[in-house]
Amino acid sequence: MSSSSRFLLGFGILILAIVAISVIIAVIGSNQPVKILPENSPEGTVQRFLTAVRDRDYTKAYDFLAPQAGTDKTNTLDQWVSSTQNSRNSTSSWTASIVKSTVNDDNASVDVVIEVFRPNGPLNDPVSSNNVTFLLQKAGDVWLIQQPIDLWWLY
Amino acid sequence: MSTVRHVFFYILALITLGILAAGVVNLLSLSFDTIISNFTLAKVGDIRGQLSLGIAMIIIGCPLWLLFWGTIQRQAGRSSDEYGSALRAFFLNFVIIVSAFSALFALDGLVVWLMGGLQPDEFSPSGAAIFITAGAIWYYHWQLSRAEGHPTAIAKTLWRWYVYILAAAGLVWLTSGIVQTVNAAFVALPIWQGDIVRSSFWNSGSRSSLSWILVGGVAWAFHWLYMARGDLNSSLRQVYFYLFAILGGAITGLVALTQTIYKVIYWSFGGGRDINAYYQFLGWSLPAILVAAFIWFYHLRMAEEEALQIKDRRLSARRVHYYLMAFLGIGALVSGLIVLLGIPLDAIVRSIRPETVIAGPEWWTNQLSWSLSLLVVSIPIWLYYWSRVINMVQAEGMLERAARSRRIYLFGIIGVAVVTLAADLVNVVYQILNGLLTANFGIDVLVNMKWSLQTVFIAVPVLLYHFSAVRKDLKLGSEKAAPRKNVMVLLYDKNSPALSFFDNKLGYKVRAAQYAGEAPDNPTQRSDEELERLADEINSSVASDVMVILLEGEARVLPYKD
Repeated sequence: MSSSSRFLLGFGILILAIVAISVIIAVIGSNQPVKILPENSPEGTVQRFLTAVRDRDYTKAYDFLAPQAGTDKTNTLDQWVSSTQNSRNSTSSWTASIVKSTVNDDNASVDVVIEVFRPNGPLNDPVSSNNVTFLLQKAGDVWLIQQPIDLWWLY
Repeated sequence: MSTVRHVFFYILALITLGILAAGVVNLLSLSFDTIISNFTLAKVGDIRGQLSLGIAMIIIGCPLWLLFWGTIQRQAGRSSDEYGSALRAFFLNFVIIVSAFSALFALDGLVVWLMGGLQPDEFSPSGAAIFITAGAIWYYHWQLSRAEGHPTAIAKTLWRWYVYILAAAGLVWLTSGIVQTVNAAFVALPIWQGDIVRSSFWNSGSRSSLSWILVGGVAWAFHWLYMARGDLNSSLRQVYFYLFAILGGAITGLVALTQTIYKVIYWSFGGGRDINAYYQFLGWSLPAILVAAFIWFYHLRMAEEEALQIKDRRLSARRVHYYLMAFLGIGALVSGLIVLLGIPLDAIVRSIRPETVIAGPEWWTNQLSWSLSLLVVSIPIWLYYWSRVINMVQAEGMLERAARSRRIYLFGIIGVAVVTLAADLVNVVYQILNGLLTANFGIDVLVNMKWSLQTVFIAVPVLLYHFSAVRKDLKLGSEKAAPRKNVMVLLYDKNSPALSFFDNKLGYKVRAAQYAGEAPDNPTQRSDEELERLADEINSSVASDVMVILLEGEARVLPYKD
């Protein structure tokens, strides 16, 4: 066997090994439950909001948004749902991780890294990463998201 | 006429032709508007304004165009050199291309209107006017150009540009029209459960797709089957064959096939929950695969048939095809491997990273589906075509190793791999140094260089493998080949192994001439040493035309003239 054939064979075995590892990770990872965060915490609110968006339960997701003040910032349920139209047909998959969270009295901020996988051509990284800071305000016992209210990070 | 004056007349002829054409379109449009679209008296003011503008453009544009174009034509009548001049060829072909595209786009609108039942409110007066005007301009200049016969190389080349651009555009319209029509019909099928409202198939979208099939088909058939027929010696035709039709067809088909396999694998992993809407993609992907395969196969067969008529191209046509397809295969293979490698790296990142609050099951399976679909499509293609290349190297020896397409392929891949590695390594080193210097060497460093690591791991073996192939070629002397000569070998048997020996040794094909006299029963067998000596003599000969006599007695290398 020539050296180039041996090289190809070795490379083929390496590919098979990566395929096997990736399949195992995908199978295990798909069944791995995420930890549910406390409901009345800023992190828990963001998690539930993102979960509702992922499940396309936009009415439920809307409940986690704070009412917008001012006439030019009206954000009724129908307006918000219609603004999410573009994200509904998206075939992309995404994950979110909380990297930092700060609470000051009735205000809080939660820094989230959202990674979106979108199949595309050979020259681009199919995973795009967005750093999103959610600003929240306490209303009674619950935390509500003030910003961002649109889903720009999903596009 | 001086060059500046020459350019001046052609530019002004072009501008005044544009003014005249715009005036004619204006008046024709107004006429159609009045006749077909039922004008009301309320719009009389608009009619007057449009009428005035149209007449003004014609009475100014027409005499000026006649003046400038008439001067050019008189000059051409006095000097036959004018007919083959680059400027005239450029002018004529520019006008022909622009008017052809304008007429075809306008024709599409008219055909849609005709198929829609000649509704007056859907009629476009300006579209009809543009079709008539642009069609007349195209026909006049097309006839003129044909009558002049493209007497120079530049005139012939520019004419070919027109022919192949229109043939390519026609083929794109035709095929995309077919795919869109089948897709519209597929989506309109009454098989999709859950549809509560379904629009009719016969709408403006499907009429437009059918119209593009008709218009594109006419444009392609006229330019490819009629205008470009028999144009075997054209380099542009080879570009059309290999870079447009064969490569384009292959890319289109492979993209559609990859998407189809990806969607099926993704669905089998549990993605795409709504099966009805999900599988509607088959409406475009299946016809795209079939149409692209037909384009690929038809042009490949035609290119090979034409190559048989031109001896020098026999091998090169096959070779170009093999390398193009191998290049496509390895491109898709590398893409699939990079995405695949991202999965274990991502798993490592997630095992270190702070809490993940959302991780849908599709996060992993989506990446796995995409990478597997790329690998399923690319591995057979690359293995098949690369093994063909290896067989060619074994059969043709130095002839293959010294081939330009092989060198373009190998150096192209090495170049891309080196640039990728350089860019990725810069990012890796930058992220590490930046993390160390800012005392922030954490998970973010790994996240920020993850894509670079994926590409580095794949680019390295690809680079090494192709670099070793280049090194072997160079070691065997692929770039030391002596200047190519026209070698004729006179011998008893045209199937003699001496011919393939010379092909391999010299790195190009030699021609054979069979001795017409009586051959001896046991002709002298030539040893490899003797043939090697003859090859060296051919290389050292100062003549470009060399004859090798391999008859009885001592073999000889003689210079000759045709």
